[in-house]
Amino acid sequence: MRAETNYSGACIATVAKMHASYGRMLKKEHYQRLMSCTDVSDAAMYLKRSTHYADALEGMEPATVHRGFLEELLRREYYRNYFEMGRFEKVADDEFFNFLTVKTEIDEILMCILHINSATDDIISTMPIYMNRYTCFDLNELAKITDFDSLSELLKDTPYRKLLLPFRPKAGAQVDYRGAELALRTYYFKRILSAAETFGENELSDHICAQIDIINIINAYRLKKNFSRSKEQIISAMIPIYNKLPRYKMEALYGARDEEEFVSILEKTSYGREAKQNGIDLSFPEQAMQHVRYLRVKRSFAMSQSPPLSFFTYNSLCETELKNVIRIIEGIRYKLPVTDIDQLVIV
Amino acid sequence: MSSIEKMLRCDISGSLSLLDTVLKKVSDSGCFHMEDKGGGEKTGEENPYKEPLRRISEISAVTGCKPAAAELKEYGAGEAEAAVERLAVRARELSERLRSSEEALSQDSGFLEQMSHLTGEGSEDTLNVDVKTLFAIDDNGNIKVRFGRIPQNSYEKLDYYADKGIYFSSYGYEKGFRYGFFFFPISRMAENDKILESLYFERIHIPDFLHGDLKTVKKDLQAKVTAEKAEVAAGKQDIERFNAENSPEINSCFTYFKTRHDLYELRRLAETDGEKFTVSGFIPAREEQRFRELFAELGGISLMTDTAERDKGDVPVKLNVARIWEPFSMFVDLYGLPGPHDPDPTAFLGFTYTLLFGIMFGDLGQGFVLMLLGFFLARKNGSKLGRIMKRLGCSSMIFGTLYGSVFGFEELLDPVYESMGIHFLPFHPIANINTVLYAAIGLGIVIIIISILVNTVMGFATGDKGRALFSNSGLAGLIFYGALLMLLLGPMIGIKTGGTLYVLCLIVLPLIIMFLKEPLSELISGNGFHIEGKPGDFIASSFFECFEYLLGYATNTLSFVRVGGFVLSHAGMMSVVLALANMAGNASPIVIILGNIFVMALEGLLSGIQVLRLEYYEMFSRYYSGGGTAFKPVGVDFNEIV
Repeated sequence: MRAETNYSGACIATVAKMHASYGRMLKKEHYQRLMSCTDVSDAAMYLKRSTHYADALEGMEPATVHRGFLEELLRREYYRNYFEMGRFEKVADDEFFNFLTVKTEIDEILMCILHINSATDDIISTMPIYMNRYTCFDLNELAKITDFDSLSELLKDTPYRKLLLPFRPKAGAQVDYRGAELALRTYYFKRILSAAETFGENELSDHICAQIDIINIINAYRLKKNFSRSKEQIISAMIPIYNKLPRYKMEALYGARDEEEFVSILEKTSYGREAKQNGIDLSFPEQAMQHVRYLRVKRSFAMSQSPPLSFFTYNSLCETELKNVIRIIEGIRYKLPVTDIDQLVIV
Repeated sequence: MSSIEKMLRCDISGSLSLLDTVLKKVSDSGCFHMEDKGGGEKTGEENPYKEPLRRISEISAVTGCKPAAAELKEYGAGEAEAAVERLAVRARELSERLRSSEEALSQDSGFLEQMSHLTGEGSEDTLNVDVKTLFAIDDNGNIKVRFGRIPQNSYEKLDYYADKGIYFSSYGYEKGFRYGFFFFPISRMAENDKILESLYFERIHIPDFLHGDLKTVKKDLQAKVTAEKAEVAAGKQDIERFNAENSPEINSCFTYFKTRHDLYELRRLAETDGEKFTVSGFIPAREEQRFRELFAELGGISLMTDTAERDKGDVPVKLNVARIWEPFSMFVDLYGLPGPHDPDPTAFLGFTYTLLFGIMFGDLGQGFVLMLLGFFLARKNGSKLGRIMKRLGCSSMIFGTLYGSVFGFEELLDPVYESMGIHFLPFHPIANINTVLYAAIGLGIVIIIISILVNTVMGFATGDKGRALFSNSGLAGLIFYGALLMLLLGPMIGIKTGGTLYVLCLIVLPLIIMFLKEPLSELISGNGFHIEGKPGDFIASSFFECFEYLLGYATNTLSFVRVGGFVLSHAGMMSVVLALANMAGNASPIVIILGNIFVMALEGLLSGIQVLRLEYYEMFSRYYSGGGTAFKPVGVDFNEIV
């Protein structure tokens, strides 16, 4: 049974608003039409004229648009939608509903660490400056950082500083990016899991745990396939939260001899069985797992009347849509065959 | 009445060379629900007919024509592919030409618009210099000028580049972009152009042909834009002509490829072993003769049929519903088609839905309007909702006549009844509130008892004696519910009930039987009196289940009070409308019309939803589980291109 929680009328109205908004989201035929576009301008024109992105792309000129700018506008629309849905009543003040802000903060810190390590081009150009009023540190200042100590100083009043201190590099060395990423991502999931548990809704926690499992499965598969990493190496690189899929099953996956054995073990897990039931090809585990998650989230959203669960699942659906559109645009830009792009689209 | 169509399991096998012919025939039959045998051609290869269909989809996308099914024509090897390719190339040419005209128009319209941004932010002062002069600043060799627009988000990042010598003079803001001039030292040109690119700066090149001040520039551009508009219109006409001339051929190719594409997809469902194939599925029993005749002249295949038992395997469900109740199958679909142990509930649902809605929304005039609306919708697009509305409208009219209510006027029919000598009618709900509420509960009791009886009969019919005898919606539940009602309501109608024996035999004993439902069901099935799990767990879960049953009987029964509530609310709302109309003086007809529309929309919708809720929660929950698979005959789907 789902826990009965009292929500205000505005929260319930938000749920209705999300469902109405879901009705306007892109469907299979929209993706098909988008894939048939011959270049980025054509795709931009289609998105502007025939989809719910019309308002977000209003000022954009399809004929001359840069792919990166188009993607930035689409991302910005995703954030705008997130904040629009979250601003009702007390929803926006709740710890849980800030999950996208926390995720963005972590993504930008990691981008900064990459910049410190490899002195890449300015990171300001890709930074979502419009998020500056929500983040707990100044993104403009983050963009100027070139060493670990300055980063640590900027984050001094945030929980991230303590998490990053163990990764302070020795003189002349680089920051341990993988270690920092694991620490930050683990922090993120623990934080939203604990915030979600306050609602007493198992289904919401289940979705977050499934998300962790799927991230771990995908990363483990990549490490196994591309780097032939051992079980111990993979375990040390995974988010150490086990819930939906028991630890021994996850470790059985990590201990697979090669990617074929990995897939055959995956087939026997609940995710594998679910993929099979839905006719999803497991020979591409990355797409298959994302597809399984998408179907779960979609099902849950359709049945949900609870604001936190609806908000989380709705946001996941929006994120999937954003990724789909960006994959298609990139596929068009790099002249991939339609069949290849089609395989990357989750619908 | 309604029933579930009897199905036959059907297996067709034969030599692999005949597979395509067989698939074509089952597809044409329109009555074969195919099962996935899992052993077919799952090579992961792409359907070879997908690519030509994609090309047709491209033609459709660029020309706006929608391919439709046509007569199936046979083409020679590569002939259809060549035709599609030729049409696609031509469509692309026309589309490119139109696009190029549109781009030119868009560019020059853009220039025209950009000129308006040179008026200055919030100012009426025009940049009153020759545009050539402005850009001649480049020629001095020190400063570089760039005119264009930058996204607001990037504009906010410009401070970061303060040390690069970039100066931006903003001349205006529109739709998320800042328009203006960038100035920077020419020595930093390469670096700064790269920065501007990373900030998605869109440079606006002032065309060479533009000279003079803004007034002259705008006039020249306007003339060019007018000529380009004519070119775009001509391009659109060319595409329309292309569609008119080529749609028969496009449709023919579409039919050819779509048929082959869908049949190829069916191959994946067949079981093959290199030499032979087996196609399995279901056909309605009444179609068997016709189906067999399709294969009569085809040698080398074996067609076997066998009765498909609904409780064994996943037999698809096809409802065979009487015409009068057929539209209500929409509500059954919504809940889920009948499962293996379910009856077809459509007729019962249709009857009770119509009855309850009519009671709740009883008004002769409004019912008539609802019926007309239903006729209109059903005629327009054949929607089931329209057909349901016709039936509900009739029911509403019947009860409206009994209530004497016509568009809220409660006394309009009084003289009619008086002239006929019928004194007990019309029945004014508002004057008989208690009677209405009691009658609603009484009706609810009857409906619940019928639901329990249906479940009991279905339990016996499917051999599930536990369900029929011991469940809360079985015989035990019926006795308990009936006895409890008689105990509570008997004295009101002069029937004396009670006594220790009555309570023990008709109330306590059925309750104990429901408590022990699981082990008793096992016992009656010949498996012995067996409790699953720990006795403590069993007692706790059975106790709470019984408690839920008791609550369920009470809440289910009282739930029907809403039927009476809506009868009264209709009369109440219409009396408010009439009171407002009295206050409105000359405008009273308008108030009456608007009030009727408002009440019809609000109450019609609410009554519809509430009755559906009663159907699903109070009735279906007692005898129906749903979850059946819909019977979907295989065939070519011409509604989707690919």
